[in-house]
Amino acid sequence: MIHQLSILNHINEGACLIKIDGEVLFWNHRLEGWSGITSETMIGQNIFERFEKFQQPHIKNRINMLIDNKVPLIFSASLHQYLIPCPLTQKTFRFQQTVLTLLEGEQHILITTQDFTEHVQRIATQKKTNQRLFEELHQRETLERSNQRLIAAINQAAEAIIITNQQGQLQYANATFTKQTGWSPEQALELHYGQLLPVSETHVEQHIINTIRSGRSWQGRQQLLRQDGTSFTANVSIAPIINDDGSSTHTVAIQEDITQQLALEEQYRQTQKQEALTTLVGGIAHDFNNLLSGILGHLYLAAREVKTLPKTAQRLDKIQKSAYEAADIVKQLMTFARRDQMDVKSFPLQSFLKEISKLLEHNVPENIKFTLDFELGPFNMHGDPDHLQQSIVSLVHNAVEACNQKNGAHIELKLQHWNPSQNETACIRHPALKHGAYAHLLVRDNGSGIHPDHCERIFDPFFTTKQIGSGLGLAMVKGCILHHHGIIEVDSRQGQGASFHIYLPLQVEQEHENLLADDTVAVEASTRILLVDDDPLVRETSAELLTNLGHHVTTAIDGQDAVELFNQYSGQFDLVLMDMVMPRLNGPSAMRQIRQFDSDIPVIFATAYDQTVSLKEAEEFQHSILISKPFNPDNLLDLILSMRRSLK
Amino acid sequence: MLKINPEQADALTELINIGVGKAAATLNSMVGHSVELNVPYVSIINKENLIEHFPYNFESASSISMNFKGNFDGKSVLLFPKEAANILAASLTDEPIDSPDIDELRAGTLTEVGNILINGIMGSMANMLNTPLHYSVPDYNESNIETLISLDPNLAQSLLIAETSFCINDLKVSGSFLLFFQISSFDTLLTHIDKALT
Repeated sequence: MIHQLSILNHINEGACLIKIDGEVLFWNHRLEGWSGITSETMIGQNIFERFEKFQQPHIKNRINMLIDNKVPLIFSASLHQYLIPCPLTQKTFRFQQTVLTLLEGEQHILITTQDFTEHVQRIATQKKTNQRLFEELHQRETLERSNQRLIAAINQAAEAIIITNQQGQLQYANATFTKQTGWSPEQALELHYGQLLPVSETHVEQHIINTIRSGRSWQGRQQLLRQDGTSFTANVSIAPIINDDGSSTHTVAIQEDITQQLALEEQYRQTQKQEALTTLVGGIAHDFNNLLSGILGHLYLAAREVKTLPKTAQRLDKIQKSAYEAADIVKQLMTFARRDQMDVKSFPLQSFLKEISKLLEHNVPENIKFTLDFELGPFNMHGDPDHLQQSIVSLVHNAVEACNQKNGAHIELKLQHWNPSQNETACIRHPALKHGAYAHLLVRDNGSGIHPDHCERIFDPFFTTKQIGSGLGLAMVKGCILHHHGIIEVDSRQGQGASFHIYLPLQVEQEHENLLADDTVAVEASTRILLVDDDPLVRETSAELLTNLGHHVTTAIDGQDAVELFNQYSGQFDLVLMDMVMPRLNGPSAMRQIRQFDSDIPVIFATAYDQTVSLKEAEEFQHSILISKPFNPDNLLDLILSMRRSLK
Repeated sequence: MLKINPEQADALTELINIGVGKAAATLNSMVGHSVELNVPYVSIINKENLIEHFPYNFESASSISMNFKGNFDGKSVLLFPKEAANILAASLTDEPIDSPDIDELRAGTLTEVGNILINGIMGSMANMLNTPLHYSVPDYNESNIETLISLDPNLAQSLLIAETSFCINDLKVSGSFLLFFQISSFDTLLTHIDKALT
């Protein structure tokens, strides 16, 4: 049998034959080579005692099972590494799969070992490679995700971002570039950066190229072309992309469309200009007003004195008419400057427009089609109907003039509730329109339109394109609308008509007051008046006027003087006529002290300034009213009597 | 198709459970993990119905088989879905499942597991029935079920199937123990069982 086994010396596996008690009978050459133990040494030895692994209980048990059941045993390299130790180095051993088979006769066990060392090493190497590849893949995926995030961020940036090569050819353009210019991403890659610049700006291209080539970045405001040939202004920042070698490979450009920003800046400049103009005009109008107050007062008195001189009376009458015309101009200037008196009421705007449209229809020639389009609803308005009527009449009058030479002329007056979602650009220009309820009043014509150069100036006082015209009409309209906390803007192209958009804030669910005028008041007896005004001309004229009207007048030069006089002559006044703005002690402060002596004394506050400002202070007092200077003597008389009667 | 009476079925289940118990004890002591082996039921099915028997598709199955000869001849097979086999081998050697392929080392692990289980079951069966059997060396294969069935045309139409489940720590891996018999050998087995029962 041993002789027959010598064939096992020529196989690639280790093989040994043992008795079932463990005594080695055969030890092949492969095992000699692997284990370093010669056949001579091993034969006769007990393999179970020689090698430690065979003494482990679970291995012993399985060998017993082999003897009992005769089922061959396999000991895998992965679970046991080896049964017969075959050293590779001093500390490491070969990986071997061992099979034990009970041979026929059941007295001998053949042990064969298959070497898996190279396989294990190959797997270990493979695992390391796999691990390295996995880490590389993970890094690549992380980088890819990071790149995708970056690309998403770049694509969603509010600015257009483009990358060009050294020759200026576009290599990348983000989504905003497409929105900004109209070129699709594919078309963008066909572009040279120079194609984005208008012909007039090509000199800039060379300057930019020179700057970038010198390794510096360039920033500036630049006109850029869209695909449709139109241009826009952009804040542009261009910088070279430097690689690890320090050399520039590409160029990145960031372009922010600032068209809207520029429009807002222009709007702001216009507002500033208007405010400055308003202040100037308001100041002049106020001084004129005081002068006119004096002139008109004296004219009234002079006219009473010269009743026996008809020619002089006629002249005075003409002077008075001219003075009233001058007062009208001043009134328009005051309207523009928002310093005029507003007779504020609540009223339904739609009904109001229907009423004045009857008047407007008479003023529009028959050859011009005049249409009204009013949305249903009350449009509760709080304002001065007279001023608004004047403004609308003025706009329609201008429209008529613009349509005079036009065939098929058409003027439209339209009223609707303002819906912010329908016109977002208007909301951007006027953020107030985003909130609150507004009436949108449109006066549109298809006449000659407005020259683009004039659009910015049409609301300036004294600006006119007419041969005959004061240039105050639109200025007054704007002042009136602003005074109502509204917005007015014009949209026009020359030859294609003009649209005036007026946005007026509406009252929410408030009952409007009756528009009917008060009943006339009957003339009653003389009134004892304390007249207070720091302007000697106004004070003296008014005093003389009131005296001539049959009233008893005591004058005070300012608020402090008034308080002292009222205290001195306590109980001897029926009414106080008080200027609002005075040195030492102003009207409201003086009145507070006077009311401590007589809490019911009626007061008429007079102001030459913005009535809305004074109104707040005047409203503090009961039995008070606020009027604007210059006052019509007849109206003042009515007012005095009305106040006295209401107190009774 | 072969039929077995309830007593024979009980005896077969008992024999297999004894063998499985021995195999579990061996595995426990060998790998140092808590390994539980369960055989909930044993049944006889027709070979053609084997594919339908499995609730999952064994397109790629791992099998460890050992042929046996003696008073009854046949083939015992431990069968796993390949993915489950991979998990089982990796769990026993505490390795991560870093590849869906079963390399030679893992095939060796599975072969040893199959060897232990088949050894336990067949050894118990042979001992209890007092009928000696001789076995081939265990063999690992990857194939689909059709290929597995068509390997040996001499195998009988009916086969014994025992569902087995391995629980290693908290991980559960299910497989099947199949016992194919050469034509007429199954009758011989039943005869031996009947003898043992009397």
